[in-house]
Amino acid sequence: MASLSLLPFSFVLFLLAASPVISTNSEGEALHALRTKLSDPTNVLQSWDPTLVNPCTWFHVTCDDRNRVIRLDLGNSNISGPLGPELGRLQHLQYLELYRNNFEGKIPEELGNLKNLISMDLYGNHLQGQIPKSFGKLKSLRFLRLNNNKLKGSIPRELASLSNLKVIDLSNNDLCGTIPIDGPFSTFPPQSFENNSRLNGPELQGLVPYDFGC
Amino acid sequence: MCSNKTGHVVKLDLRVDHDRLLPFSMSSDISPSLLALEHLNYLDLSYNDFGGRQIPKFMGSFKNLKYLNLSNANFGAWLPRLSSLKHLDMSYVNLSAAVDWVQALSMLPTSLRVLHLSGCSLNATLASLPLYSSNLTTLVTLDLEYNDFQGPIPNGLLGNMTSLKELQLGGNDLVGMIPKTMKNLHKLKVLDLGWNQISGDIAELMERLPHKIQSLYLMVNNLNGSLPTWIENMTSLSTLDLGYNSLTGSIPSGMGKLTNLSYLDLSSNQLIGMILEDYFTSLTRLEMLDLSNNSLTMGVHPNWIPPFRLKEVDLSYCKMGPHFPTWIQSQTNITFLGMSSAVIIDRLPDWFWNVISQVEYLDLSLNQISGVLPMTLEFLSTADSIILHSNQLKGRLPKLPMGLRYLDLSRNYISGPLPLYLGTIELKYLLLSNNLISGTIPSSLCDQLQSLEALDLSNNHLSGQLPECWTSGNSFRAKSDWRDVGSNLTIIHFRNNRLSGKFPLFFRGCQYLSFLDLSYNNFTGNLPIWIGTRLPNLVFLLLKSNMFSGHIPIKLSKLDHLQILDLAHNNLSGTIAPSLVNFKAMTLISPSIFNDIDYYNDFFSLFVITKGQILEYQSDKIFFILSLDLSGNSLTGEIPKQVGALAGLKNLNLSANRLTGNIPETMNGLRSLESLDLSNNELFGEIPSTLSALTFLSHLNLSYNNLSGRIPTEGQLETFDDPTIYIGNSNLCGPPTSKNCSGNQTTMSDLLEHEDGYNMSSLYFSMGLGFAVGFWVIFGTLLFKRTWRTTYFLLVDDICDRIYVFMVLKLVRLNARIKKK
Repeated sequence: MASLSLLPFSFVLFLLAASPVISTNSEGEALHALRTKLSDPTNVLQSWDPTLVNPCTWFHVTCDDRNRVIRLDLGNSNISGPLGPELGRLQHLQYLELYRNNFEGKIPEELGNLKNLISMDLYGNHLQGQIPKSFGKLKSLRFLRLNNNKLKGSIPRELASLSNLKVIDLSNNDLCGTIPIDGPFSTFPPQSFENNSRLNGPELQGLVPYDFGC
Repeated sequence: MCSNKTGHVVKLDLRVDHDRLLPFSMSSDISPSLLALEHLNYLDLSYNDFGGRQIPKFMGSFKNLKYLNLSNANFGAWLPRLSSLKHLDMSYVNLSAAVDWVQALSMLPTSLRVLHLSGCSLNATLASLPLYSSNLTTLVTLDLEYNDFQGPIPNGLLGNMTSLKELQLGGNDLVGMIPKTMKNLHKLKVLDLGWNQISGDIAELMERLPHKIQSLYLMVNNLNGSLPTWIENMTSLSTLDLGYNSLTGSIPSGMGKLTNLSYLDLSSNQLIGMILEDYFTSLTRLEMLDLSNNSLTMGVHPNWIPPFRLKEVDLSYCKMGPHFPTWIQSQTNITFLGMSSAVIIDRLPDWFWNVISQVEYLDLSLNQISGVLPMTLEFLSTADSIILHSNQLKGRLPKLPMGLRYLDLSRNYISGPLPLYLGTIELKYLLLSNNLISGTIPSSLCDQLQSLEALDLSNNHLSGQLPECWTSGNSFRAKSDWRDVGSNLTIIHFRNNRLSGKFPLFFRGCQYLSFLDLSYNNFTGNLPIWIGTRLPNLVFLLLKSNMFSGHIPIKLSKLDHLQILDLAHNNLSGTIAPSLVNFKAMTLISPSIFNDIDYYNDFFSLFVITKGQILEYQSDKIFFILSLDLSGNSLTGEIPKQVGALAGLKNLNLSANRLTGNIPETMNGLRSLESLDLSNNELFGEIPSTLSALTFLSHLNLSYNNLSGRIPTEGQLETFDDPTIYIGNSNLCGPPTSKNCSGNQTTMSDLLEHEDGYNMSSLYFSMGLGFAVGFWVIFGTLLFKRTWRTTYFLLVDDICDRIYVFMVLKLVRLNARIKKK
C-alpha cells in the first residue's frame, strides 16, 4: 500500500523533472526549423545555434525567467521565405514581430495555437492565401496587423470572438466579403480595412451572405 | 659521394635540414657546371629556396639520374624528361603555374617507381590524368596527396599500375565510390583516401579492395553503412582509420581476430552497441585505439587484462563507467589518454598516476571522478596537457611538470592557496575557475606570466592584491622589463573573487590582452588612462561590481575592437564624454568577429545583464554580443547624442545614474539594439518618436525619470504595452499608461477608444436594423395572412422568385461596378 500511495507523488516528480527539458529544447528546435527554410541575406539569424540548451541567448529571441520564448523580434530584417508551421510550437509566445520583410506563402493554421499571443505583426510582407480561421483561438490577442500583404478570402468571422483585440489592420490586401460588426469589430475604424477592392463594407446579417462577392 | 669503381660523382645531397637551418637561398641559379657530373644518379635539393624560379632546362640532361628529390624546394614549374629516373619527389613544389604538367606527366619515363607530387597545387579531375594510358606499369608508389584533384576515381585510372603498393590520394576533393578495378591492384598495401568526399557504403568499398591491404585511411569522408562482419577476414590490416564518417550500426566482434591491427580509429561516427572483451581477443599489436564520439558502451569485465599495450587511446563519449576502468592499469605505455564524458562516477584509483607516468596528453574531463590530487605531478615529466575539468577532485593545486603547457582543473573542488612555485615554466593555459582556491596570488605568478596565454581563476575565493610584478622586493625584474610581463596573455578571467587593490599595474604589459574580466571583486581606485593605449586588443572589458571611482577615461574609446564595456555598479562619476561613445567595433552592424580569442573549452563564458535578465554567452557565442553597460554609477550630464553611432550595439544600459537632459533623437541609429534601459535617472522632455524605428528592441525601461508628453506608439514601440516601463514619470501620458493626454493630437488608438468609434458602431447597427425591418414588413405580412397565402400562393411564389432574381442581378451588376472602380 505504501508504494501505491507514493505513486501520485512520483508521477508529479516525473512531470517536474520532464517538463522544463521538453519545453526549452522544443522551442529552440522549432525556431531552428523555421530558420532552415529562410533566406537571411543580412545574417540577422547568425547567432541561432541549435546546439545551445535553449534559444534565450539567440538574438531577436526573448525568453521569460523560465527560459520560455515570449518574443520574436525580426521586423525589417530583409528575411524571405515561408512562415513555418513550427512557429505554432512556441506555446508561450506573446509578441510575434515579423513585419516589413519578404515572408511569402500562406499564414500557417498552426499560428492559431499561440494561446498567449498578445501581438502579431506580419504587415509589409508578401503573404498569400487566407487569414486562418484558427486565429479565433488567439484569445489573448490585442494587436493584429496583417496589412500590406496579398491576403485573399474573407475576414474569418471567428475573429469577432477575440474580446481582447484592440487594434486590427487588414488594409492593403485582396480580401473579399463583408466585415464583421460585432465583438471588437464594433470599434475598429474603416481605415483598418481600406484598399481591399473586393471587400463590400459591413456585414448585413440575414440579408446578404457573409462572404458575398468572394 | 663517389662511386667506388669509377670515381665519378654519383650522389649529390644538397638537402637543407630544416630543423637546423632556415631554408637558405641558392642565391644564383643552379650553375650549368653541375652538368659536368654526368654520372650523377642521386640528386637531393629538397628544402632549398630557389625563389620560385623555373627548374633549369639543363637538368633534363642527367641521363643517369635515378633519384631526384626537389621536395619543398621553392621552384616554380615543371621539369623536362629524365629517361632513367626511378624516384621523383616534387612534393610541395608549386606546379600550379605549369600549364603543361598534364602532358609532362604522360611523358614520365617507364622506369619510374616512386612519384611524389603531394601539395603541388595541381588542379584537375582525376579522370583527365594521363596516368592510365601511360606505361607506368612499374610504379610502386603514387602520391598525389593535398592537391585539388576533383571528381570520382575513374575506373580505368589504375588499370595498368599492377605494381602499385602505395596509393596516396588524401586531401583532395574526390567524390563517389572507389572503382571496382581497385581489386586488381593485387600488390596494394597502402591506400590513403582521407580528407576527401568519398561516399557510399563502407562494406561495398571494402569489398572492392585487394585482399592483402594493410593500411586503409578513409578518415573525414562521407561513408555510411555498417562495418561488414567479414572484416575479420582482412587479416593483413594493420591500420584502419575510418574516423569522421557517418558509419552506423555496431562494430562486428570479429574485429578481435585482426591479429596485425595496430591502429584503429573509428571516432566521430554514429556507431552504437556494447564493446566486449572478445572484440580485442587477438589484437596483441594494437597501439592506438580511438572510438571516441560514438554511442558505444564498454562492457568489459572489471578483471579483464587486455592483450594489447596501447600508446594512444581515446574513448571520450563512450560509456565506460560508472567504475573507473581497471584495465587501464595494464596500459603502462600510454602517452595519450582521452576519457572525457565517459560516465565515470568513481574515485580516481591510487595506481592511476603511476600507470600514466609517460603521458603527454590526459583528458578525463566531464566525469564525476572524485579523490584527492597528489601534492605534486612533477613525475609526469613528459606531460604537455592535463585536462581534468568538470569532476569532483579535491586537494590543493599540485606542483606541475616542468614542460606542462596546458592545465585545466576548472569545476572541481580544489582548495587551499596557490602554491608559491607552480614548478612549470612553459605553461600557456592555467585554467582553475570554479574551485575553492583561497589566499592571495603569489608573486611567483610573474614568472608564469612570461609564457601564459590564458589565466582563468574566476569563481574562487582569492583575496588580496595582485603582485606588482616589476617592482617586487627582490628586484628580480627591473622596471624596464615590464613590457615583457604578460606579453603573451590574451585572456585574464578573475571574475567573482575577493581581489582588492588598484587596477593591476602589470596588465600594462599585456598588449595582446583581448579578454579581461575583473567583475565582482573589491578593486578600488581610478581606471587608469593607459587601458586605452596599452591594451589595444581588448575586445571584452568587464569590471562590473567593484569599487572603481573617478571618471571614465576618454581614451577607452581608442579600443577599436571593444565589443563589451561593462563598468556597471562601481562608484564612477563625471559625465559621459561625447568622444567616449566612439567605439569602432560597436559601430559595425555585422561585427567583424574578432576571433583571436582562443576560448579554451565550451564552458568559457561571460555574463551580460540584458533584457532584464542575466544571460550567459558561452564559447564562440561571446563574439556576437555587443554591450555597453554603465549602470549603477554616479554619472551626470547628458547622454551624448553621439551614442546613436553605435549601430551594432545590442545592449545599452545607462540606468541608475544621475543623467539629465533629453533622450537623444539620434537613438534610432542604434539599429541592432535589443535592450535599452535608461531607468532611474533624471532625464526629462518627451520620448523621441525615433525610438519606434528600433525594430529589434525587445526590452525597454524608461521608468523613474522626469519624462513628459505623449508616449509614441508607432512601430516597434507599439509592442511595449507594459505600463511599468514608464512608471515614475508623472507627466507621461497616453497608452499604455492609464493617463489621457489632453493635447489636440489624435492618434488611431484615440479614435478607437472615443466617440468616433461609438458613432461608427451605431451607424452599422441602424443600417442592419433598417434592412431587417424592411425585409420583415414585406415577407411577414405574406407569411401571416392565411387567405393571401392560399389564394395567391403561386403568384406570391412567382413574385418572390422575381424579387430574388432581380436582387441577384442587381447585386451582380453592383459588384461588377465596384470591381471596375
